Order: sequence, then C-alpha cells, then structure tokens
Amino acid sequence: MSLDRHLSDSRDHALAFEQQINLTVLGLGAAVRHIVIAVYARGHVLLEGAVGVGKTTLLRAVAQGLGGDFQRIEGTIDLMPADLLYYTYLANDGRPAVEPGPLLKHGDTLATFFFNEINRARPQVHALLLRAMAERSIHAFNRDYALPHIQVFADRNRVEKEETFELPAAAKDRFMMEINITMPSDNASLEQLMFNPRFHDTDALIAEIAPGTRYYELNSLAHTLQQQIQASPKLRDYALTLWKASHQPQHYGVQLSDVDMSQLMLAGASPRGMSYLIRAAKVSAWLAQRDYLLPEDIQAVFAVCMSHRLFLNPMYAYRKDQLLPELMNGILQQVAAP
Amino acid sequence: MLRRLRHPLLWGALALSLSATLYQAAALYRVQHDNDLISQLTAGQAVDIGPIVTGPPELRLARAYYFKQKHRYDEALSTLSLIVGLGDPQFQALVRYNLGNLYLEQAVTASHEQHINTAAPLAGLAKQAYRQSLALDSSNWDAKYNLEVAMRLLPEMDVLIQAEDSNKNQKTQLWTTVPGFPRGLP
Amino acid sequence: MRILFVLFLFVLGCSSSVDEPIRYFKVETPRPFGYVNGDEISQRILFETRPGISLERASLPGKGPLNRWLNLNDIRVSQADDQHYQIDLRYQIFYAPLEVKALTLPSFELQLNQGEQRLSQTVPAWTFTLSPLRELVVRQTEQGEYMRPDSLPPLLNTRPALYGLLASVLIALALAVALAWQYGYLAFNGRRRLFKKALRTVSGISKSDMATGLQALHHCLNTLNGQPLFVHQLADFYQRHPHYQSLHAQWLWFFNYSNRFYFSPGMTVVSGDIQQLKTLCQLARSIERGSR
Repeated sequence: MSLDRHLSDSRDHALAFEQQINLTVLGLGAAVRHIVIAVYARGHVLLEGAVGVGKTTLLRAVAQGLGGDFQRIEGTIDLMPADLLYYTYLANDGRPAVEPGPLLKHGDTLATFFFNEINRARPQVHALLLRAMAERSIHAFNRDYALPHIQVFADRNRVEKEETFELPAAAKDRFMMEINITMPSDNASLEQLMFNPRFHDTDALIAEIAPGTRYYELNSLAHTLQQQIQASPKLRDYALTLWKASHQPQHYGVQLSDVDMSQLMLAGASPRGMSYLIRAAKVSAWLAQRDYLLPEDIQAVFAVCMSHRLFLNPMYAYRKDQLLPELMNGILQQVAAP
Repeated sequence: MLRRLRHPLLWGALALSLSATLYQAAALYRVQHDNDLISQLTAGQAVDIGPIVTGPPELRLARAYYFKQKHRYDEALSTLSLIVGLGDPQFQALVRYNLGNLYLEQAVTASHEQHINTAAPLAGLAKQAYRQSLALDSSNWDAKYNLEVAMRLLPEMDVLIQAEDSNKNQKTQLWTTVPGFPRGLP
Repeated sequence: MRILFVLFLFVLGCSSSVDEPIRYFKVETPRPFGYVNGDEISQRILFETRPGISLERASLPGKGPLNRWLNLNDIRVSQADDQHYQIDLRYQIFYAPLEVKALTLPSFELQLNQGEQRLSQTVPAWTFTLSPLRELVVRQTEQGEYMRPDSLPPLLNTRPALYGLLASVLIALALAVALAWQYGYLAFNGRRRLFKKALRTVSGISKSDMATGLQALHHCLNTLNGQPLFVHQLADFYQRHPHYQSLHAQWLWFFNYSNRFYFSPGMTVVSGDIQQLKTLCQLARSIERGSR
C-alpha cells in the first residue's frame, strides 16, 4: 500500500516537473515527455536538432528541476579523454596544480551531463564516455569514482560533416533514446519566443523553476517502478512481434515505396534496445496512472527508442531520414496488438 | 436518415418489381395462348368460345376467318360486326377488308347462280367495306383488286352517290344499306 | 406620244404587279400516270399573299366525297407566317376503268379576304391517267370471279409483354444484387460481411472464451481499417468509415475493455460484458449492411 502511495506521489512530482519544463521551453511537449520518461527510466539520451531550438535551455531546466549538478562540455576535435577527468594549471603560488575535470569535479552529485556536439570529439573520448554511461563510474587518479546519478545527454551536430567522428553503432546503442527536437510549429509559440522578454534571459528563465532535490531518489524509484508495472503475456507477445518485425519487416506486411523490403534491413534492434524500450514504456504507463503496460505505451516510445538502433542496407542509407520514420510507422501500423 | 430508409426502400422496390415480373409473365402467357388460339382457328380447327369473348379483337377476327373457311357466312358476319371499329387503323382496315370479302364472296356466288336481287346489295356492301378499308390503309393491294372486282360486278353510275361514311351507324349499315340503284349485272 | 404610251404601259405593268393579291403561287403534284383503283394522290399548294390579305379557310373544299369516284381524305392548311400558306390535300380514287383512262381532279377557287374585299385564286384542274388492275376478259373460278383471298388474321404482338418481362426481371435482379451486396452475401465483397461473421462468433461465446469474441471484433476492425486499428487511430478510421462514428462511445468502451482484458492483471469477465459486446456487434452489423 505504501509502495503504491510512494509511486503515485512520485508520479505527481514527475508530472509537475514536466509541466514546469513545458513552461520554460515552449512547444516541445512531445520531446519533454520523452525526456521525462528517459529521466525516470534512467536512460541516456541522444539529442538531435537544429541550432538554437532550445536544447541547452531544456537540459538546464531538467537539471534545475531534478536538482543535482549540471555539467556541460563542448565536443571539439582536440578534446582528449584526460580533459574530461582533470586539468592542470599554474597556481597562484606559481606551482603546477591538478584539479578534477568536468566529470569528476562534482563528485557523486553530478546528475545531468550534457555533451554538446559529441561527434566532433575523437573516438577515445567516446570510449571514456561510454564507460561512464554504462558503468556509472570513472577510473582516474588510480581509483574509481562512482557517478551513481549521472545521466548523459549528447547532441549530434548534423549540419557539418567535416572533422566529425560518427558515433559507432555500439555507442549509439547505449543511448536509450534519440530525441528529435524541432522548432515549435504554432505561430503563437513562435511569437512568444520572439517577443516575450521572459524568454530572452535564459538564466532568469531557469531560475523560475523550483530547484528540486530528488535526483538521488531516482535510481531506487526507477527500480521500484520497473518492478511494479506489469506486462501481460499478450503484451509480451506484442513486444516480441515488434522486435521481430524490426528485423524482418517484410514478413509483417510492412511495405515502403520504392524499396525492396527483403534488402532493406542490415540489423534490427538489439536485446539491449528492446529492454530499454520496455523500461521506457513502463515509465510511460506509470505516468498514465496505470500499473500495467498497454500497447500504446510501447507505441509512444517506440520511435525514439528504436530509430537510432535500426541499420539500413548501405544502398538505402542515403534515404535514411525519409525511410526510417516510414519504417517505424509501418511496423507500428502493421503489428496488431490483441 | 436516407441511409436508414434505404433498406425498406430496396425491399419495397424488389417486391414491386417481382410482382411486375409476375404480371408481365402472366400477360406474356396470355398473349402466347391467344396466339395459339389464332393459329388453331387459322388452321381450321374449332376452339372454345369462352376465351374469345374475353380476349382481344384479334381472336374474333380469327374466328370469323374460321367461319368463312367453313362457309358459315352468317356467323362470320356477326362475329366481324362485333369488332368493326375496334383496334388501331391498321387492324380496322384488315377487318373491313375481310368483311368486304365476306360480302363479295356471297355476291359472286349469288350472281353466279343468277340471283341478281341478292347479289346487287351484297356487292354494294362489299364496295363500301373495301372503300372504308382503303381509306384507312391505301396500301392494301388485295383490297384494291377486290374493290375492282366488286365494281365490275356492280358498275357505278354518276347518279349513284355513296352514303356518307360514319362510324356511328356502321353496325346498322352493315345490315340495312342498299346502295343506290343497280344498273345491271354482267 | 409613243413615249407617253410606253410610259402608260409601264405604269400599268407596275401597278398590276403591285396589286396582285398573290405574289407567288405553285401547285406541286406527283406523276400524272400509273394510278390504280383505291390509290391516294397528294397535292400541295404553296402560295404567298400580299400583306393584309388572308385565306378564307371556309372556302376550302371539305373532307368527304367530291364526286362519284373521288374522295378528299384529308386537307391541311399550314402557315409559315402571315403570308406563306401551304395546303396539303390527299385525294383517293375509287374508279374501276376497263382500260387506261384519263381523269381530272376538279379545279376549285381559293377565297382571299382583304378587309371587306373578296378576291379569289383558281387552283387549276389536274389530269392524270388511271389503269385497270384486272384484265378485260376476266378469268373465272368455280365460285365465279377470281378474287383475292382473305387476309390472315394477324398474331398478337408478344414484344411488349416480352420486353416488359425482361425489364422487370432485370430490375428485380439488380435490386436483389443490391440487397445481397448490402447484406454481404456476395462472395467478392468480404468487407461487407465482416461483422456478420463476427456476430456469428460472438453470439455463441460464454464467459470463458471472451478472448475469442474480442479477437473476432478486433479482426473486423483491423480488416476494415486495412491495418491494425488502435484506439488513437479512431478519428482517422471514422474519416474513412463515417457511418461507424455513431458508435463512438461503444468503440471506446470496446478498446478500453479489450486493453483491460488483455493487459491488465486480475481482470474478471462478467456476463454483462458479453452482452455489451454482443450488442455492439449487432449494432456494427446493422451499420455494415446499411440499415442504420
């Protein structure tokens, strides 16, 4: 009973948190919902979107709402793994000094870590980051530093291709979601963003959010939540079918224009991907005040959890931006739930 | 609204068209049957009078044809007199031609037997019937020919003016008209 | 002097042509030979009067016998405008000549009115020849003179009845096909008998095989939709199948119920649910066959 109570209280907090973020960044309701789901499912997020649409503001708002420390780093070609761990400088007394770098300096209170333009950084940096993401710990100064609450948000620059290092498939797979952040499309929001002075000063805007202190509860809450939300046999069937359909869409009646479906897929979703999918779906069910999963929960997070995990045959890869959403949609529409 | 009415309407129309089908089938059967009767009469076989009384005038024409074949002139005449003035002009022309033939045949027979007093009025009646027939349908060559036969049998002189043709007193005319003044037979 | 005389003549000529009551007059007749007893001859008179002059129709010859051998069967006057007249006459001859004989259609006067004044125009007589149909010395048969036999009594026309029958059969067939289509009896329109089959399934189920019933109805909706239908796609579904929108509340119930049944733990089926499912199926069926 108290467990249910705990879950429902936390849900109220989560919904209030979502609402506050929506007041801070306008017109990004769907992306905000996905980020909230990722936060409560403890998954790392790959962000995608044009310049200046509010990614940083969004993440700062998240960090502010959750509490804990926020750290941001820019990916550059000369960034080295060590730069994340420490930096050296000449102290006032003229002697060289060593200080913990961005990852370490907050200790275990680091909750939100934003890696901007991750594809500008070298693979060595990726490797370090991936370990931090997977194990939530870092080896430095001859000891392990635990980062129990870290959640990584990484942004991929899609505009420039020069001097970038595409994330390897294994790296991408460690992210729970890839969230596309687009400009709000309704005129009212656009006008607000342009003329309302409230949105001009980001620092003041972020300060409006009541600072939260719940980040340290998230891990245990996520654990409870995953235990409590039930998946019926029928739903397991459904999820399984979706998984298989992501490998062989042609067997499930998915048909895209101008595509030989048997040649389309290079690789479908990984087991880790599917487990992430179900974790996210459970959070979605929890936010919808249910203690069991529905197909619509899975559908709600299917695209964001899957699109960066499906690999198309190179001959179709250049049409990826068009084909992937269609494929995702096609799978969802062709697989019947009951 | 219309959608809800569609089913009753369809069913109603179906019932209506089915009954129309039945009616038409019955009508077709009746016509075929009447045609059978006509063929029998034409072939010289006697048939029951019942269906002829209620049937169309064509049946009586066929019956009259049958009587004439059997030389039962009086019965033929009374049968024909029932249908003079019925049907379309084409049919009426036909009836009058057969009526003319009925008179003419008797007139020819009578004149053959030198019964001139019998022959003359009959020939006159025949001429009148042929003229009426030709007025209705001037393309009947048989009527033209037989009218000439009748005219030769009973030549017309200028004093002889044909009685005015009128449909109203035809039936009485059939029996009573004695046209003009016969000027001798061959 | 001579010039004066010529001038006088000229004036006379002019005045006479101006004063002529009829500007144009023509009688059209067919060939003047080769007619036989009982033939009809048609004659057409065309003329144009001066303005103010009209034809006195009472002066035209009446229908009926004109003399012993000539009958006027029909006379028809038509006018293109006030001045142009056309008179169609149809004569019929009843004359049995012994040899080719010349006969004459009598002439008559057309009376024209000009105010109080009476004018007249003569339609000239027209002569033609009439031929006999029979030889001079007539052959004889046993009964006497040879004559043409009776005409055979005509058979009744079966076409009207036949066409009527065909038309009514075709209409009845078309209606029957339309009804069969509505009720989903036709093999090729499987989409019109989805709910019919589902109804058959649902009407036989008990509490224990609720899954079968739900499955049947889901199958219907999925097939009708062309792809699996989820509750959030209902609006789109109604766009394509607007008639089903009237059952919106029931569909929502159905999807919610199905979700709870399939995905929620500890769900028990009560008989009311089955009844509701059956009712929904019946309603959907009646929409499917078009009676709602």
